[in-house]
Amino acid sequence: MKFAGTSLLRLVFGALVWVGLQSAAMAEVRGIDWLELIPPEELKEMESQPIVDHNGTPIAPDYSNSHPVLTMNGVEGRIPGYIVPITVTEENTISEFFVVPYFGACIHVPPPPPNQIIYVKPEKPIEMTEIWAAYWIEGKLKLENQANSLGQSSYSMELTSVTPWEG
Amino acid sequence: MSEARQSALRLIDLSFAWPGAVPLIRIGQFELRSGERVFLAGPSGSGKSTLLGLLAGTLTPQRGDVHVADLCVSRLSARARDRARADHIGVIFQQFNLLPFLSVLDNVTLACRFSRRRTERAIARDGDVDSSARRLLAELGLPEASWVRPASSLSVGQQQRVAAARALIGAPELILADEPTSALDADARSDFLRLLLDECAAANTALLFVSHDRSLMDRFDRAVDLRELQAEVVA
Amino acid sequence: MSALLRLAWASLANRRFTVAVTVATIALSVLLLLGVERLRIEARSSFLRTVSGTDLIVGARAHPVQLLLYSVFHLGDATNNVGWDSVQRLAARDDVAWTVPISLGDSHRGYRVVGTTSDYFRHLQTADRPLAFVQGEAFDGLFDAVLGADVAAKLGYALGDSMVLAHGTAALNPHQHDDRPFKVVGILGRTGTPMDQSVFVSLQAIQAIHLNWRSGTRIGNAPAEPTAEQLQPSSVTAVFVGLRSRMATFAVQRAVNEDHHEPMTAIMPGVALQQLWSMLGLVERALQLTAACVVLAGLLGMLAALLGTLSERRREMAILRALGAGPTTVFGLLLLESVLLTVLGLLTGLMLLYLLTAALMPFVLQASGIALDLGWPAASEWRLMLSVLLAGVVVGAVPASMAYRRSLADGMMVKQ
Repeated sequence: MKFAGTSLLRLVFGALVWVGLQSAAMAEVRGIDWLELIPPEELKEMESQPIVDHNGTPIAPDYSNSHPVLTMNGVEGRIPGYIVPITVTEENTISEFFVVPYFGACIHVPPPPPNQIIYVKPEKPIEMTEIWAAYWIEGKLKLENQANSLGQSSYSMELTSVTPWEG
Repeated sequence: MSEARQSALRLIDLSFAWPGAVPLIRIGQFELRSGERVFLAGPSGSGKSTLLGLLAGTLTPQRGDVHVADLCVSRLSARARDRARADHIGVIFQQFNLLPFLSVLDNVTLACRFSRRRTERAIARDGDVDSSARRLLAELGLPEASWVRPASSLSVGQQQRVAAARALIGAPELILADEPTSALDADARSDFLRLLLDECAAANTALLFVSHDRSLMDRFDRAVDLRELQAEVVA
Repeated sequence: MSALLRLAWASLANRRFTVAVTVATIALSVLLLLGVERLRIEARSSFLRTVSGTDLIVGARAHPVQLLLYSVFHLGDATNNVGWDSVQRLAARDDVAWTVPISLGDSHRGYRVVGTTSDYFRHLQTADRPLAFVQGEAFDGLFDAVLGADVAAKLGYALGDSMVLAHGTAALNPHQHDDRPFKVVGILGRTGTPMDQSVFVSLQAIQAIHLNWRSGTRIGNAPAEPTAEQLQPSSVTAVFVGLRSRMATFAVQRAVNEDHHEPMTAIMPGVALQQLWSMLGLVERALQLTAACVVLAGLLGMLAALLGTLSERRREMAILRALGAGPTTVFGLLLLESVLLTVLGLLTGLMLLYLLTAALMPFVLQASGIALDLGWPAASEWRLMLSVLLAGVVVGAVPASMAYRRSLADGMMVKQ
């Protein structure tokens, strides 16, 4: 009986340590803010733009001056956002997707500029998600040099996990 | 010690009552020696069905013991009692003894399927279970053509003989027969009894023949009245 | 155990008619259950296999799912078109790498005709694989046609054969463009998508055959040598768009949606597909629930049949008890009968499923583009069959336990 008691104690202790480590790990995950992805000078410019006017004609987006923040390259953390599938596999899983800060419903808000879009191609396709639900997307931010008409690089992420965002 | 081995059935101080009723069965002492063929007279209502249940082990007495062959059946667990019944007792009812959807042969061999001991004895005697069944059916006067037919296609008299064959196969120590001839006509009755008694003698199987038809009484080794048995206790 | 099995089998064989009806009921319910599951899986695969290689699909203003359905799956029709000007404007954008316009509306013996450019075969992919020709090549001459794999196979066309297109999408069509036959110059490999049931011709060809049609009716014959101007398409049904950079997707989508010149919708195929699935998801679940209820009904029928025979079988049970079988054996016997019935029902249902699939395969393919499969059951189908078996065991436990209790009480006393 004594022997069993010691083993049990050890088991409980071990479990507690494991839980503790997990929460410590969780506490360590860096939260990434969408605003961090925009260079300070662009942020200032955005603040000086006119307030959204639902009566006038929509503002045509001009992204020629939209740049990524180079120091964000390699940052590990998690960011809250919406998942927009690009490619869906035959098994109804997502093999490529965008992460965006909002799910554009209001047409008077401009679509997200390139530095507010993260492209993700996970190693293993993820389970189908809800387009209208928010998620924590965790991983390592990278900056890709993509040949595009605007000649800029853009954000992508090495995915660690996707978990539902629960307020 | 040798006495015990020689008795197929022994009842000691047996008492049984249905829940909420007075004791129905009270028997101080009763014994069947091995191979002994006994006629037990008992009108309906005297508790003979209950007694048979106690002897076969489907009922547990409140007091006393039932010994079948070497086993004290009344002290065994329900499952062990079922096994003991399969191994040591053959039962013949008044009618509807057979499973209608099985053939005559399959009905007979069914007894061995529930008892390894009887299977072994049948094999020892006749080589295999099937041959044992065939031999008994032939000795009981059933035509070979009927053996593969479904049991329901036979007449009542023939069905009773098949039941007898099933009770006899593998030479159990005891056969309990509950009014086996009551549904037969006079001729069939006589034939059946003759065959059954002969077979029991040949296999040294004890027979407890319960019936209200006293005309058959003197063909047995011994005759007992159930009411007298019960009265002994009270006395 | 085998003794019990033989007993159970003989017992069932004795009640042949009741058994047959019970097995048939279970079989039909299993057929429905597995059929729904099979269709669901195949439909998913078929649909999911279709969309890849395109960043956006542009059409006249419509619900995203509607646009997806008619442009990619050729299901339903567009109510409006996209003007040629808009197509050119789209192609001229800096961030657009390529555009492939398509024009739908004609048919050949029930198969859809897709008017498009030869870029279609270069850019569009299925299941991440580029389109491949098994014979021939893309169209070059005005009245050249490329056939999807099923069209060529079903209609027995080979390179060089001649064919006539019909106006509208009805299978049997009085409005034939028989003044302008086409020549088969290419046949595509199997893709398992609606492309297999399509006939591809150039946009100009669509224009050419409609030159002598006014308001949907043919007047005389089409001109023999149409001019380049006459062949210029004025509008198309939809446009597949590939972008230089994926990151521009949202911006281009917004630009198209807000275009002042004409009302259009641009969809991201992955998103529209997901919207389609959530709509279908409800239907799927409803169908699955119905099928499950039907199976339950079938098993309850089995229960009723078994319960009905319990009283008759009291003597049987008494005989078994007299032979040394315990009440547990009686329980086992009844349970075994239920299991046998359920297994028979499952096997029969499965067999019916395969027969029906084989018979209906071509029709389903033609009607919806879904390719049914005759292979081994999928994992989800095995799970369903296992659940049916378990349900059968649970249902069977009811008469079995009733028989157990009765047998325990009855003992050997055969109630005359």
